[in-house]
Amino acid sequence: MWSGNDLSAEQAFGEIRRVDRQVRRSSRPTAVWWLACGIATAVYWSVMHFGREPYDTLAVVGWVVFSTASAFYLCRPGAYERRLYRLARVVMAVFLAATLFNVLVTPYVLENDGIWPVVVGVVGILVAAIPPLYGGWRGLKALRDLDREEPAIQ
Amino acid sequence: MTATTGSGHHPRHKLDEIIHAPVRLSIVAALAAAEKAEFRFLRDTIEVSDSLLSKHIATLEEAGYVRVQKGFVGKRARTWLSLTERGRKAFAEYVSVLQEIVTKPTKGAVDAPH
Repeated sequence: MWSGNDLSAEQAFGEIRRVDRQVRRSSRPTAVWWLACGIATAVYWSVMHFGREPYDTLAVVGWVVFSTASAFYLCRPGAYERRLYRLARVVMAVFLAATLFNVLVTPYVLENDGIWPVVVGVVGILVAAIPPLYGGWRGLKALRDLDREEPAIQ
Repeated sequence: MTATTGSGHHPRHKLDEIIHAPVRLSIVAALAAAEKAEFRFLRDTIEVSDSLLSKHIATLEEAGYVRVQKGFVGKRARTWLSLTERGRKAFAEYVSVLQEIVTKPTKGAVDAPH
């Protein structure tokens, strides 16, 4: 906390570093959510492509619950860390495109036999799950690197 | 145009006096690391009162360094702050002047006997 008005260059650098670390740490919930989203996506599309009744209905219910919980969870952060925020836009764009792909190929995967429907289904699962998993991994890796850095000057 | 702390040759005279004040430096540093940050997050991070934070944000907004956006999440009012391009550029310049000060040998150190 600041009390005086005089500020040396070292103090200024120390404060910049302290505040920077605090903002970067605030991105942890978002990174964890991306990982959870990647896992949930993989499970959801695996069930939708290859599951039978009643598991596909359960998957839809589970996805609705996950989406609702996400809306509340993602409202919590007080700051959006710059690098993760920019990465999130790319991840979200790829994720939405992959979701659309999966929606379109689901009838083909469900209604046909043989190796190709399985390959298409697996590709769909991977392209949908990898972007959020990558985003989460990148976010948590940045936080791990931050913890390894020397502590801020007080 | 940015306000500087003086007209001498020492790099400290090139410090932007709008940023070079304890609370404002913390605000700008936090916003430089964030795409946007909420008022309450800044208040808790910088450990200042709402009124003091508001006062300094108004100074930064007036200088064109900070953008203020008000919105609602549910029924809750939220104020989001972000750095403008001008603010980001001013902060980058401020940090480079600080680096210059830190790396510049002081007169005492140069004159000191070995």
